[in-house]
Amino acid sequence: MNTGVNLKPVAKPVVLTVDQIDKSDHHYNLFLPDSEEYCFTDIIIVQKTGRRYRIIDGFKIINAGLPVHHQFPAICFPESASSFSILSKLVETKVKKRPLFPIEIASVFQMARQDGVSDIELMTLLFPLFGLKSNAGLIDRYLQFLLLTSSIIKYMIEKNAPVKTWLFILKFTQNEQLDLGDLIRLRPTLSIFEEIVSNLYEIQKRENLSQTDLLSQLQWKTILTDENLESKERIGQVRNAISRRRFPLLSTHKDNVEAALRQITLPENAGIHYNDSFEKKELRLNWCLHTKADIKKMSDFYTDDTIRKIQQLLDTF
Amino acid sequence: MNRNHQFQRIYITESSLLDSVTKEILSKTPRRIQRIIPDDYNFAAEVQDLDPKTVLLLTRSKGDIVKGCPGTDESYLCCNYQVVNQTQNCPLHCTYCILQFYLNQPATVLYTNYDEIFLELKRKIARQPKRFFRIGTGELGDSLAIEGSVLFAKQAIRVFAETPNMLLELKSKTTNIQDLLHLEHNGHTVLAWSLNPQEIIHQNELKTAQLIPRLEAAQKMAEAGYLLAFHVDPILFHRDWERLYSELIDELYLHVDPRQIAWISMGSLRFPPSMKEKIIERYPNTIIPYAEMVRGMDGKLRYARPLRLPMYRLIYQKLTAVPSPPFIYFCMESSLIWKEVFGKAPESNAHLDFMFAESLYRRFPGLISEKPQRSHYDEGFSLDTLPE
Repeated sequence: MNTGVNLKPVAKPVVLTVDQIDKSDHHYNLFLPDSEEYCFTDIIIVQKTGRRYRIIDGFKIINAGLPVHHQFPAICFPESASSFSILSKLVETKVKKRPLFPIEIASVFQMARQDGVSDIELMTLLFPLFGLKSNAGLIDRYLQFLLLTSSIIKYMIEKNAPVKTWLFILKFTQNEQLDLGDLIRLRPTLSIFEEIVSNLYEIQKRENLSQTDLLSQLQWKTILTDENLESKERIGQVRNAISRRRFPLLSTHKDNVEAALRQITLPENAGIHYNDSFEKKELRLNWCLHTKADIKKMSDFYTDDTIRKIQQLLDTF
Repeated sequence: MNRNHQFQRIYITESSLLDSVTKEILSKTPRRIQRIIPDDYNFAAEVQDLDPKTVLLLTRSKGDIVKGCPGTDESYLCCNYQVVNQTQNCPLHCTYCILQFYLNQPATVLYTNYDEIFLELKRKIARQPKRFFRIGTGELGDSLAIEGSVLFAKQAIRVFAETPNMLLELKSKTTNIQDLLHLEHNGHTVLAWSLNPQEIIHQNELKTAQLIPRLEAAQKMAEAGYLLAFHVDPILFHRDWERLYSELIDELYLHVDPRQIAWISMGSLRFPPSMKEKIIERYPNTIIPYAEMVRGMDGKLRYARPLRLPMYRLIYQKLTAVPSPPFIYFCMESSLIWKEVFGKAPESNAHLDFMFAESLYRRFPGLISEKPQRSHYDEGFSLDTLPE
């Protein structure tokens, strides 16, 4: 395999002033800032481009408002260094600091593809850095992350969503993603977001329904934009409506169980629990006993009437 | 019919060439796709772009292949079935099939050292002479879908015919019965078919025989004196399931006399959660992963009880609405479901195994020489258990 790429271009230390940097060149600005703090230990990497220098790494520091004659040390790639060799080096530096977000990996793939790097070269040289398995199909899938709506990208980064969630969201068209924006604006936890979108998708597939129709039936927008409700309540209502639609029989079953459970008056030191998969006809009664009075409450609880109600509860299983 | 047509490449290990069956299989396949390889040769890289269903490996088994059916964990009842894993993988394409995800090997494997396999079987059976064994070849592949499986079945039928305490079950979704019709089986082979309504077969059991041909094949085997079995498994939820499964059972009894059916199993769709995405990826149009499923006590996804219970009840009611209904059991179901559908449940896996023997003894006089004793089953052990 001839990659045509010199992976070890000679980069040399230099001392530059801020006005030597071409701040408008964002060619390598592919990564999110590593930290909100200004970090003096970060190494600035540049490449000579004609009379000026292009930033490879260190955008945040350079753009932090330093005086134009401020001097700083940097590592400089020669003008002749190939774009991919610089990119590889940059990725290597970045992954040492933190795992990259899927969207950053996508940007790297996009840039490499634009530079004419083959998929085999990408798999050989970059996949190991990203911890990806050798599968060329992944490149195209990652590239699709760049087409996600900006609100989804921002949310996924904020919640540090795993790749599987990014991949799942690809199942939604751009218009469908825009509808998800109503939910995202309320900043649900990632696990609740994943549950809601997964249920939404699966209902659509099962019922052969468009998302528009489904959301309208679920009163998605009405609930999520209801300013009389707290964000948590809006999310809770939508989540509940979707879950009931996704699992109608189980929901009804659970309603019946809960109704029977409400017939039983439990002392405050007792709790009744059950597994809501309903694979077992089983209740668990927990007692918290500290004092003699607690024990008395327990013994008083098991009247004929309560036992009958517990049996009725079990029968609803 | 040519039962080898689906293979694009066949690897034959050198030791397998010594087995007569290897020559027989190869005589029916084009030479250009055959490759003879050393026994320890790893060909995985050569076929990484091919579906393992289209690559055949003829080889000799290295370890034991007669085993207890793995079943599922103790939360659900299993029947102490035993299996011979001579064929591993299947050319059929069922959307729900666990094999396409479970078998992590680059080819369909056929073991050709039949004599050794039968010796292993007899040696293991001899350790429990008072127990009656049901042994199948359709656990990791279809018993009749490919040539090497049919050849094995033919020899197995003869071996089982001579062994009093074991019954062979050949489980299939094909109609490849022609070669078996005139064999001396001595009543010790059961021909079994998986059943689903035609509409479900059409959507989910690709490349298999259609429903009526399966039932017609069963009819022919019954005429040839074989016992029959059916597996209504996996039962798949369909919005019109009541009509579909009702008509299925009507169709079954139109073709087959229930008195010739040794057993019928019922089981609903279940699979490990990791298989869900794989099904979606492989069969993007199927809707089976989107039904109301819960994580069962064994960790597998299965239909929620309120969903599968009415399906079981209807099918059971239909299956038993005939004089002398066959023995009906659940595959991998909970005691709770047994009780809710049948009104009773086996006390244990061993008890269920005994119930099979007892039913066979009672319904098919002469098949089992001595009346089965519960203690022989309670004290029994799986065929892959090493002797102490």
